[in-house]
Amino acid sequence: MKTMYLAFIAIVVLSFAAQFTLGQMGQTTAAAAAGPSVRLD
Amino acid sequence: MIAKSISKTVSTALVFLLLNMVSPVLAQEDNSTGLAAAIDRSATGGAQTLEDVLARQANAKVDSSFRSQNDGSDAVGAVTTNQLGTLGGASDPELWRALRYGSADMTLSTRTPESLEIIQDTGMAWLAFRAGPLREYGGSALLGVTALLVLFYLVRGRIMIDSGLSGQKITRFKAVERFGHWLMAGAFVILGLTGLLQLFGRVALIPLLGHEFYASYATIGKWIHNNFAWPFMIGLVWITVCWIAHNIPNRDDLKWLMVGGGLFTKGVHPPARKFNAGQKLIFWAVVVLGLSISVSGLSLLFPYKLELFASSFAHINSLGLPWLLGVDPLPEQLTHHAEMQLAQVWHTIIAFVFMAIALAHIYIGSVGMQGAFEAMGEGEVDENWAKEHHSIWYTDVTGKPADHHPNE
Repeated sequence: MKTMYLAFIAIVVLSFAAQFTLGQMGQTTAAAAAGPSVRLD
Repeated sequence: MIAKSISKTVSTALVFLLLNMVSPVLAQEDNSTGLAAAIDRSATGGAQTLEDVLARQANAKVDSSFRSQNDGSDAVGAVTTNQLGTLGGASDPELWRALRYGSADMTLSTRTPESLEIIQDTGMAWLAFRAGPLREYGGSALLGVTALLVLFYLVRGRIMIDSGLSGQKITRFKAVERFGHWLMAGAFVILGLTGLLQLFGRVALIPLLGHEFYASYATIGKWIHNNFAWPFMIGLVWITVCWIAHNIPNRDDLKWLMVGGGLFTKGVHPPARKFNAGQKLIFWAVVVLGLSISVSGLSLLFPYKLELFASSFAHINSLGLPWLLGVDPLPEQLTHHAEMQLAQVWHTIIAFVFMAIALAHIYIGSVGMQGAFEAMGEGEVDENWAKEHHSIWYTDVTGKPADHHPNE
């Protein structure tokens, strides 16, 4: 059962890693959906 | 005399003040119950005026017959030859047509192709399908499969190891295989639940828990659904690599299928290798559906970047499939928004099929069969379980005869 729990932990870790990586790549909704002229950041 | 005069003046003032205090109240009551005074609409050519707007804001009932009965005739509206005619100005159909068909020369601050689609008329059809048949048929399919599984359990009961537990264990799946399985399966369950709640939330959660809760949940649920997709896709690739060689069909699968895998008859155990025909069907369904749901999911994760349907439809048309089926060719020109709508619909249909199959898989891998969960949970199974359900594999692994495949 350890392998199963390890996989569940990996799911959470990979999800946060994906969020962080996509954010760094400028693939967040805010960055992707807004043109430079209307971006607030 | 002076006192009398002062008293009269004060009385008059009090009456005046009282009238001033009451009159707004009366006016408000009149507005809330009566009709607003007739409004002169000559300045707008019979169209709505500022007075109409103000009357509505004051909760007055506005007679809207000036709009509902305006058939464009000179008797009702202004003559159309005036600058402000019945239509309230030039209707400019060329502009609206150009906006609708994407040929208008526009400049927007958001310089993305899809933002230039000011009008797209597939949105309402998509919304109606999503809120109607997609929920109804999809939900019915899941409930139907669940009902069938309950019925199967009531009729067949739990499939037990006929020869009982031997107490001897044999390794069924290595840790690397189980890790890939649970990576994909764990993510899939969460994706399925969050997906269902996104689809049914408006009709199932909001009436129970209210808008505020659902607004918070929807934000979190969307985050989970978007990001759990990545471990799902990694797990899908993982198990495909691990097991594809074991899932190539062979003659034993036919024997297995001929007797329904022994699922419906006690004591029947057709021979099988590492995976029986039923498991192979599940495997290939997972691979094909998983690939399709991943690609359509990526299309939704990166909106307007991965548009699949126009090109797929063109390919299907070129193969002549619509002609074979006697239907019209599929549209090969789609708006960016229509691409997203089709991706959402396709993603959800595939998800429902995937979930229905997964329900059957989860059932037989847990409560439906004695000793099955241990295979993926602990990685080891009882030898008698292996002899009965995977006799060829048992012999391959141990070198010992399974001597338990009466239908061979």
